[in-house]
Amino acid sequence: MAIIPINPKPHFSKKPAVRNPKSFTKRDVEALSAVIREAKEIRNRYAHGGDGITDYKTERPNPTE
Amino acid sequence: MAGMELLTTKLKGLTLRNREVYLDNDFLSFLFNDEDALAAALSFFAGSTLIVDRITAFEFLRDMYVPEEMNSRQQFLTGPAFNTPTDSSLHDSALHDNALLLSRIYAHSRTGGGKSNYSMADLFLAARAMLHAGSALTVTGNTKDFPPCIFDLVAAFNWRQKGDGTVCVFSVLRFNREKFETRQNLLDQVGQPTKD
Repeated sequence: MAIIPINPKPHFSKKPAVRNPKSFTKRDVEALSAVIREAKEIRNRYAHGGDGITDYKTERPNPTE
Repeated sequence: MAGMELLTTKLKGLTLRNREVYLDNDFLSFLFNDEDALAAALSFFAGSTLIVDRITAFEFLRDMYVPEEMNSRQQFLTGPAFNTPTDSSLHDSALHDNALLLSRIYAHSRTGGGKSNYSMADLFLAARAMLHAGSALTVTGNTKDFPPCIFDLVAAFNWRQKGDGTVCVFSVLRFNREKFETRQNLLDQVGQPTKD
């Protein structure tokens, strides 16, 4: 296992973190919008009240079974 | 975009083009919930590279167990708008070192009432902003996770939501190397004998 040094030195890099950044068109953005709309439908289908994202009404095991 | 209200501002002279812009999970999740906000953000940051770090991707995907939800999030992340760092393995130890150093500086710089407990995800995102300090910007809804003893506020992206009119406020922050070095010097003096 690598040991983390007790007194680490700061690191700075001039190299970009992403070598070949993606580019996107208007059509790509529309496709992403479609993903967002679909995700909303999914949340509406599964969620009940509360935050609507993490609280699903189905698929949970019932501990009493 | 009728009915939407977007208010952005940025420091005079600051250019967002050719920047590496790291998205905190709160901003990424906000974009995932509002297609108009996504379009506005892509336009605001046009010419820059939007990056979702691995640790942010982890936060975005955690706790999801309904397959359709997992799939839509995965599709969103891997879509054409967002990039993941290609240098990850190369810089893993550098990120560990930077995160550890920043955690100490934050703790040392804390004055009464300041935040004391920074999440690992926020420390690693800050470490990433530090590593690429020359070009990186970080967008977050929680500026307290990136304290002013190290980070400068350089732009803001405010979005008024359609429904209840809530204004979502996001800040664009830049790592300030000068501030960092000042704080590091102060930290290095801890435990040293005082000079008369």
